[in-house]
Amino acid sequence: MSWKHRKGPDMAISPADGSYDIAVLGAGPAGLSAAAAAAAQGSRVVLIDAAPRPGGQYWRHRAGEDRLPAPLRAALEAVTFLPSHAIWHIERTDSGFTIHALPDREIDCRTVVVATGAYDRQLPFPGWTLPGVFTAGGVQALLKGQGVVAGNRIAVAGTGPFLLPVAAGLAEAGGQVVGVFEAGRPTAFLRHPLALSRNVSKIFEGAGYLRRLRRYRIPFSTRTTVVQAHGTESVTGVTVARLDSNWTIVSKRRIDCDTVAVGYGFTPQTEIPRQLGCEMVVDADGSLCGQGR
Amino acid sequence: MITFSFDGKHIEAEPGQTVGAALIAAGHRSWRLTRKDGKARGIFCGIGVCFDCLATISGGPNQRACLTEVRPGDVVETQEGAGHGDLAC
Ligand SMILES: Cc1cc2nc3c(=O)[nH]c(=O)nc-3n(C[C@H](O)[C@H](O)[C@H](O)COP(=O)(O)OP(=O)(O)OC[C@H]3O[C@@H](n4cnc5c(N)ncnc54)[C@H](O)[C@@H]3O)c2cc1C
Ligand code: FES
Repeated sequence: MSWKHRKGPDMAISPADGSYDIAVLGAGPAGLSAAAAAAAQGSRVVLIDAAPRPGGQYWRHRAGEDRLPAPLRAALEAVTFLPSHAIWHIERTDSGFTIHALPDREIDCRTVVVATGAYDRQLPFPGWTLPGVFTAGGVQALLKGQGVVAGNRIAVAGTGPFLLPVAAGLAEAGGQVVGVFEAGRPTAFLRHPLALSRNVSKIFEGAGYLRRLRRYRIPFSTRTTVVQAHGTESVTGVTVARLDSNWTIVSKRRIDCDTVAVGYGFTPQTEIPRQLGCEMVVDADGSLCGQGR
Repeated sequence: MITFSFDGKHIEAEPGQTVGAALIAAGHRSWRLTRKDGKARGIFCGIGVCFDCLATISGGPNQRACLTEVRPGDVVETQEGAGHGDLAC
């Protein structure tokens, strides 16, 4: 295999009998918390992640930085942490599971906790494969994990509150955000008193992001989204459409930009639960989710 | 700074940076041509799930540039098709 030579840092100390009580797959907020809780109960825990640093998407950070909360950083000491190990296969065995990770490692455990996170949900549109069209999360990962602004003139589009910190972060790092195009009408839920009372802190957080957008004079449009990316080798512009409440196009206009950051929320990574034969259900938002064992 | 080459050009990267991030920072956006139509591709998801960003890195084809950290002296080449030359399928 051609890439065996690219070994990641090897910090594994296997328990004497070569197996763990619990393997936690994914070292994001969920996996770190699960590993910490299991280790605190005295379990032998192995925590495995494909990334070189712990933290997942939320606590993604650059090499040399540390963004983990101190208790979770401390909990890492109590578990075997295997960074830079991509899990590609899991098999059931008589005594539990064998996890196969690259580069080249097999790990035996009695119990598996899957905490592999999510990825950006995409609604394909003409031109979405052009270089310069990125997922919103991908643009955020480039910024937070790599210190790189994905482009010069950037259109941010899709649905959901995540678009706001992405746009604000890009502007603060020197990108010119030509607009945030939100396909939905996020204020609709404000008419529901229960939703309102349960989400007060989120509403303040959203208002803070909107203030940051205003500071950089970034236009924020609702019921609007990118429906086409133009260009031959790379993005040179987008068509932005105004939508009615059924997401039917009402009108269109063209905007010059070299980059699109697009995402319609997130959908769980279900590869591992499906490989294990877990029962799957369709969630309220249309996402495929694992259920059962 | 560490240095590597991309299609013969000299590129600088910060320690710990991925090949994909360093290429974007240097103004490059594509480093793969699709199998059928030879269309340009670069980073899409940025987190290792879509496999759009495959490149040939120091002789090994099909490496995800968004995950692979630059090593000093890496030779990165635009990957054509499946990256196996005439045997591409
Ligand atoms: C690209 C992207 C960027 C995001 N950025 C932000 C942000 O900046 N702020 C924010 O609030 N929310 C962000 N989110 C939303 C994010 O899903 C949640 O905030 C939160 O990180 C979810 O926590 P988690 O622990 O469930 O999963 P994650 O944080 O996604 O962690 C899952 C971990 O599992 C690992 N993993 C997955 N599959 C494998 C495998 N096969 N082998 C080994 N390891 C694997 C991943 O490397 C990752 O570290 C982002 C989501 C995405 C997809
Ligand atoms: S950009 Fe999707 S795998 Fe690298």
